[in-house]
Amino acid sequence: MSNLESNGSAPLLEVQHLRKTFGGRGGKPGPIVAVDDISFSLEPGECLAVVGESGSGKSTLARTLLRLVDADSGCVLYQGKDLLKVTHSEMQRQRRFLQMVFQDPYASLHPRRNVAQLISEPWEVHDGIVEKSSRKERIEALLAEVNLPKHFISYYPNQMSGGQRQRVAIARALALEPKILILDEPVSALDVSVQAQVIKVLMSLQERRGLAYIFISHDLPLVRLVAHKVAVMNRGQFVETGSTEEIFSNPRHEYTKSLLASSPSAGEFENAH
Amino acid sequence: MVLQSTPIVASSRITRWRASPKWQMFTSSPLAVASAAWLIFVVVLAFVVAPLVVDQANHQTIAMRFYAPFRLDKGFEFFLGADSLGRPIMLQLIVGARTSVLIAIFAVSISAAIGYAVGVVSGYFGGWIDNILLRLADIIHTVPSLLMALVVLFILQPSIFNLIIVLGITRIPVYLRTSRTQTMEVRERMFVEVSKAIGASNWRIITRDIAPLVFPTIRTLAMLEVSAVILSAASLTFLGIGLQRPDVDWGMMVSDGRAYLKSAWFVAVFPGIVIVLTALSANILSNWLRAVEDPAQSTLFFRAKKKRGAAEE
Amino acid sequence: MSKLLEISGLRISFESGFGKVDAVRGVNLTMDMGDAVAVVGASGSGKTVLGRSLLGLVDAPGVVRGSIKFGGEEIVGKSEKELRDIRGLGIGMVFQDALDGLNPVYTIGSQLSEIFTVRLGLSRSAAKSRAVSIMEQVGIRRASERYHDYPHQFSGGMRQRICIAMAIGLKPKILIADEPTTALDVTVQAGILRLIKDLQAETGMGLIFVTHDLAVARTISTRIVVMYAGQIVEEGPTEEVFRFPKHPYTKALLAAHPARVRSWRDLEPIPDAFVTDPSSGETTGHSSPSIVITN
Repeated sequence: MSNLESNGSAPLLEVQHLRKTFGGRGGKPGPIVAVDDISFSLEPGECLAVVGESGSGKSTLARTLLRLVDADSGCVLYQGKDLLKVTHSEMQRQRRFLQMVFQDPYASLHPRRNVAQLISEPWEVHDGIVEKSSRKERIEALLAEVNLPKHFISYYPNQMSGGQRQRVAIARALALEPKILILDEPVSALDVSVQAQVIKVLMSLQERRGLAYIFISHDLPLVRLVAHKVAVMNRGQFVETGSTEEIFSNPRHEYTKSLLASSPSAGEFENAH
Repeated sequence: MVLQSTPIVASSRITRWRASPKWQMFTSSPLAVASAAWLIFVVVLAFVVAPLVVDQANHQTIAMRFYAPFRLDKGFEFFLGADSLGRPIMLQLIVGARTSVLIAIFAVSISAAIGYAVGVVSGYFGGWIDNILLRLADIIHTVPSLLMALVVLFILQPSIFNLIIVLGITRIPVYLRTSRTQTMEVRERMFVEVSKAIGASNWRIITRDIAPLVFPTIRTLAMLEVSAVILSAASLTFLGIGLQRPDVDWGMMVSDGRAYLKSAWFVAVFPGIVIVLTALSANILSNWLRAVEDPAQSTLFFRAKKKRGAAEE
Repeated sequence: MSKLLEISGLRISFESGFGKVDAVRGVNLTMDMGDAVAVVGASGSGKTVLGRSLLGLVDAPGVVRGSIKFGGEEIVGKSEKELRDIRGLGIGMVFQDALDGLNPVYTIGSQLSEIFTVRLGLSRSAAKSRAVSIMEQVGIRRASERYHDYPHQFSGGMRQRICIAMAIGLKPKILIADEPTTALDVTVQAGILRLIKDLQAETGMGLIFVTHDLAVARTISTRIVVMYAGQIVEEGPTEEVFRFPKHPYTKALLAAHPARVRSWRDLEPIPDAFVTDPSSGETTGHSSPSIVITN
């Protein structure tokens, strides 16, 4: 696992021996281990893919990093500061640097708010980031960044397609100028045919802004396109980690091999070329 | 099927639709218009006309006893006849409206506000507070509200104020349970977690994300409760522990007229009709509001308008 | 001899006080025993409604016009009672969400064997042994023990296998599978796809597989039908469609598929003109030069 740990100066994000169990009472560890001794580090501009199937603990891992669920032990060092130890209010402030895009754009946007309200909500939570007077301009700029036309500003979620909604969710995550985006299956709720636009938006954003991504997915062909390094997760553990090339061309762990073999398209499409 | 409109084509229409969608929907629904008109009429009678006719309404003329309705020879005020003491029923109805409306509005507001607030907070946090509140609601709920009102009003003096308090408190559990259940459902929705992820506080999540989604249900419930409360007040008066003369409400009028149903049906029937009409109007209006507030239904409505518009072009 | 399935001029529209929506507009399709047809399209393309119409499962206010002949017998216009004979015995269906297809309060075994007692008139014990054997056939281990388990005691993949067992239990001539693997993990998906393929080879039934994923379509089918806005825009042998797509929409679908490119930069998002409005089946752009919608 050494290839995922930092060398030299402190990385943007460093996770050490993170552990999360469920079913425990009164703050004690429980019998169900969701995240088991996970360590990795992340540099600016990097995309780490966490690959696994449902129940592997990958979504719990994401939520633990943001303290949406509380970890049992371990550290999450963001620029050297342990997010698991800071106070609740300090965590609220730190959250602006780590943002998350959720899987289902049909569920993650409040149904009664239009795009302008959705995107400006983070600015109401975190004072002094964008002044009221310049908000409209900023919203339009954010919409442009995710390839949506200006007039979407007044749309409500039910007036948009899944791909459009997900791009609004991305624009909102960007509103706080985060350094790290956690993408929890960002396109798996979308038709394959509309995944491409969302992926292109995400990847050009990363290129432009130097964001670090934690890309959680079960879709190997997609991971091959976007990730710099891959961690294969099974039963709460990283069973194999490495650069994207290594994992795809020379998988070592049995589980990785079976994942690659199961993917309906990966092998066959390549033969067609 | 997920309903989605066509953004690029529809943009100009959406802005126009936003301008006054509910008003458009409202005017195109005759039943809703009629119900609203009746409720406004009652409120105007209760608060504008009633103060002017109190003395006349309570003036007893034994000669006019059980004067039959639909005749104008004794003046317009006796158009709906007179009661057992020769008081004009029409004016009694107007004065009674004030009491009934006051009781309904205040009792419903008290129980809805408390039940809504407590229900949302208790549903969001859960835990032991939630448990205690729920058991408390259970207790209030299991004691028949009429029995409780009976006891309380027997101990306290029967007055409009006490009647409002008693009716208000006994109806709290209805709202508490509803808002709590709905909050627990909304709490699990993804956008709540999204709000947490951007760093929103619990207070903000409750007031901005959850409460607005629970509100339409509470409002619908409150409007249904208007009729329930008017009827409860009527039954308390009927049992003789509600209001005391010279205060009068519709329930009291029905109860007074009951004894003479065979000889002078109109004494009980007119206030009865007014109670039914008011309760019905509140129900119709609340159902209509719920339909409009439902995003799926209003989107359908909007789409239909759009399609019709497109066909005309 | 008549074809196994012959659809001609099929039109399905949903009419209500709010207007009319055409979900399927003029579809012709034939298939024989042993055919594996993948119906590929985005959500809103009409592919799901098409699948459901074969079983007479289009509910009011949906209106079905045209002709669907199953073994020479017309399905459109049949009464609910006549349709019941075709459902299951003639045509079986597997849905996307396996939980919807199973009743949570009965054991898997009782739901499976009920099919045999009610539809085939088998005795209880015969039905049970039949149910156990079909559970084994769809790859459920220790079938006779798990016979007494309830749906929630099975994983998503296992539940989908049970749904498949229910669909093929009466040996239908056609199996319709509507995105049966979309909700499942890749490794589980691979297993289900293999199972369906094997079952088809064994029984020689016709397969109609509805999906939005071209890669899945490729693994399962011998023939591909591409649907767009309620119409079939391209049809042909699977490998041919992949190698030499003719219709611009098919080409666009292929260019947008993550498994077809080397880098995200090469992904080509579907042009807006092709993005359908799921509620109406119409395109959002007024001008889609490459698509001619004939009514």
